[in-house]
Amino acid sequence: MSTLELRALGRSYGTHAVVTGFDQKIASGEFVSFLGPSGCGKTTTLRMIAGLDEPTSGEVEIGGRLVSAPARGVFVAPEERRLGMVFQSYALWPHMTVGENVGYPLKLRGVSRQERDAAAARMLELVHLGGLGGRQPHQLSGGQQQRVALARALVMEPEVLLLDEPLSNLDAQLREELRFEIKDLQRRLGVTVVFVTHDQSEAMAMSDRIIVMREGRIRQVGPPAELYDHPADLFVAGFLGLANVLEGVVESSGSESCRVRLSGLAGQPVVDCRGTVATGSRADIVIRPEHFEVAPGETTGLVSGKVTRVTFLGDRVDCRVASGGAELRLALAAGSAPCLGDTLALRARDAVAFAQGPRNG
Amino acid sequence: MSNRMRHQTAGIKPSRSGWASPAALVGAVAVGLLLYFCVLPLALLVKHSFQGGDPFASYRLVASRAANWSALKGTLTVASGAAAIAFLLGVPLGWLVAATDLPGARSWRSLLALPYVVPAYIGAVGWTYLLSDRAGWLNRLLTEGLGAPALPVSIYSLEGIIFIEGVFFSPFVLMAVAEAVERIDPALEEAARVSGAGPVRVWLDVTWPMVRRAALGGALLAFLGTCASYGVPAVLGPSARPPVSVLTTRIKGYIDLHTTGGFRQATALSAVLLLAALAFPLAERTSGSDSRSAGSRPAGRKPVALGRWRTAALAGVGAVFGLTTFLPILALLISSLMENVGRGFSWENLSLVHYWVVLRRPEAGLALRNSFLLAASAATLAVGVGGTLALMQARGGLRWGWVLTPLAWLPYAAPGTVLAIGAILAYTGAWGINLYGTLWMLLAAYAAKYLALAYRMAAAGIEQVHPSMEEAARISGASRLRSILEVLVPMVRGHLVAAWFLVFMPSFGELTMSILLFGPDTPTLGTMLFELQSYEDPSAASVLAVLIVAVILLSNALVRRLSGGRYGI
Ligand SMILES: Nc1ncnc2c1ncn2[C@@H]1O[C@H](COP(=O)(O)OP(=O)(O)OP(=O)(O)O)[C@@H](O)[C@H]1O
Ligand SMILES: [Mg+2]
Repeated sequence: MSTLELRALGRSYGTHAVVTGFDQKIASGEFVSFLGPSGCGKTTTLRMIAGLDEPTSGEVEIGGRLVSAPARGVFVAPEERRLGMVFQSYALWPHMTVGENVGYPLKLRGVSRQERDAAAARMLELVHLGGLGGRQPHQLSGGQQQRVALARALVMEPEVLLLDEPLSNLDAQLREELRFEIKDLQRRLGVTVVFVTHDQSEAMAMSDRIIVMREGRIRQVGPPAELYDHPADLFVAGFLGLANVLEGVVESSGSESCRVRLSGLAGQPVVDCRGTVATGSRADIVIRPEHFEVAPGETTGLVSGKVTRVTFLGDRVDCRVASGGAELRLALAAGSAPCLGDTLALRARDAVAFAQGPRNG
Repeated sequence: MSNRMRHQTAGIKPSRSGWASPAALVGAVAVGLLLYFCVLPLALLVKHSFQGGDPFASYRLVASRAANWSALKGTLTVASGAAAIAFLLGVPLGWLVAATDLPGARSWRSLLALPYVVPAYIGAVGWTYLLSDRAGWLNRLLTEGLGAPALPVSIYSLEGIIFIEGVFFSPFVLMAVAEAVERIDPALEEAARVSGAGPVRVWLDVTWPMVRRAALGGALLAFLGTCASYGVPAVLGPSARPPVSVLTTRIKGYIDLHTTGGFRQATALSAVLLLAALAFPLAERTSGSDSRSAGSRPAGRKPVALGRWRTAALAGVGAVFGLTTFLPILALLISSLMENVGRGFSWENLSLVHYWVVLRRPEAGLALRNSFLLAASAATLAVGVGGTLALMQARGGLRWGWVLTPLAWLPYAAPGTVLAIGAILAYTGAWGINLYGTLWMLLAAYAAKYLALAYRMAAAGIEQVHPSMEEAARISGASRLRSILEVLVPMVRGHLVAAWFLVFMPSFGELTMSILLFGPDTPTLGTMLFELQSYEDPSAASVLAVLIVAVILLSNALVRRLSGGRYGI
């Protein structure tokens, strides 16, 4: 299998830089997601890997082979990169049957008709579409078309598989199911996967590592849990999972933590936060909904607020609490559900503080 | 979302190594061809009209002749009258076939649009059998049959020319109106109904304002088309009393002088006529015909119930079709089958003798062969070049790709007469190339003239294919060329076939350019028909007319068949 290395990759249209200094090494057999809001350059980066777009600076190396390096005049055409790719629109060719679609990459490599048909049938079997090779693409459902596209991308056993929002056109249930299947296939085939998405739960569920992007730059890279627990900045914290973003003044500061008095909330809320911010300065505080606890009886050092909404979600309860001018979001265990209108005293089990710099972006 | 679309339609970028890239090379060749075949003739024509010691000498000479002024007046009169008729016919008919529960609306729409594909001069020839002074069948029916006092309506008249041109250009208005009506969101009309407006009110306050622009655009196209038309005034004008002369026939007259001076004046008049091309883009855009080839006809409109007017509407539509289109074609068919036109209608007088006589003439065989060969080659060439241009523009990533469109459209916007004279200037001796009197000359003119139709159709096809279709092939291992040939071309096959016939049909019966460009060895069906009609043998002319109409209708039926009714009339 194959490693993938992007070195200081950049793409600009005229003076408008769309991707800047994208530096990343992806290990063989790794499942990596590009995650970020719309327009942040995910597709552009993926297309530069595929050779469907040329970088304006930097280099791309696939399996040790330099495929794009504008400064050195290197550009390997997409058909010579031996990649598999699934497009968001699936891009199944309507003038070919399902089997012909899947067999086409082999046809281009001069594989005989018989072998092609056998391989296509095998691949369709793999994606649970055995026996549908004779159909026309439009006779399949969206989820089935998606699988055909996957089979076509995998048929020539590529070392790197590129997926551009492959699940975004499907309904929620199918999405869940295919997530699992793609992940499963990837493990079995050991293929290196680059997965583009703007759905954070998709990225967290599937990836070995997530690359969070914003405005064409990498903001943070790491395994999902790490990004969730240790976001590098407010943007990452807000983009992965739900977060209450609050403000406060640092009262004291240690080597890895600080104590912050939250402003704009009712009660006397003081929380211990991870992260170091200079004493006396203002900080942004991120508290995940599940990190709030109800602390009956106590009053000092706590946020107090009134429950404005309770949504029962089976295993847990989603609460909105109005405190001062702010609204907090809480995820509480189902057993300890408060009632609408209750006044709660809340404590934060965990919180992260970020220095308030000159706001960037 | 829009970001994503913009990004992806940019498609596969050619190597940014600049001029050496294959796409840029193909692009440069295509632009070269466009310049030579589409722009050079017209440019030379304009230049030629200003030649000599006094650049305006030709114009002064042309302006000093009263006959030229009356030709200009003739052109403007005929064109305005025809546009008015096209408008008056096209608006109600277009609305009836598109918006109402008229029985057989779909078929009526096709039938009423027939004049769109049949050359107007053929209609003119048909009408000569019906309404020539005393001998016309309709005139005889009126006077002898119905005992009307002598009122021979003659088709050989200014009114006759206006009528035929109006009828034959009415489909431009009809189609523009029908499509505009279909684009209206039915909810707008329903909202007006709910607000308390009666059906007439709704039509006046909601429907018409949204259709007006397209209708006027269609009428402008009719006006420009009539300005450019040669066949009808050439068939009917000279025998009218007083004779009707228009710019196109006048230009042909100057060419027929076979003198340098005559030619110079022809170029000056042509340059004047070329001004009509300036209004063409406006007409195309407002009539909505520039987006017509997209071929999608939104369904789901609830037709307006005509109620007790239904029968009357049906009768009206039938009468219009019968009188304007069916009758002249029927007249051609009958006259081609009558052994002796003078002997009147009887079973004994029916025979295929004219078909035999005509088709046994070697010249007819030649003309038939030439027309087929020319139309097929022009169609193939136009689809090849037009398809390449459309592809380059859609997928080439060329920054200057937009210049291709106006270049390709220029010859289509220019009147055929003007283009033909430009072709004479460009291809008889300029740069050592002399095509005069060869089929190549005609081919160059046909292909340039109708290139735009193929180009537009191919572009509409490519527009419907998302670039990721070809990109998926590239990733699968196909070269750029292969991804085009094995993925894009099969996916737009329907459009390409339709484009081919869209060029084939008007080329097959072409007259306006051919009459100026053909030589002794290169007659076409159009030129032969015209000569037979004017000088020797009207029956033989009918035979050719029937042949042309039959081939065109067959092609049209084929297009409809192949495209599942999306294209063709
Ligand atoms: N051809 C182009 N010319 C100019 N700007 C472009 C072009 N193509 C893309 N861009 C810009 O590049 C940026 C990144 O686009 P890209 O498609 O990579 O975003 P994305 O992260 O995939 O977004 P999405 O989640 O919406 O798919 C966008 O801001 C877009 O406007
Ligand atoms: Mg994208």
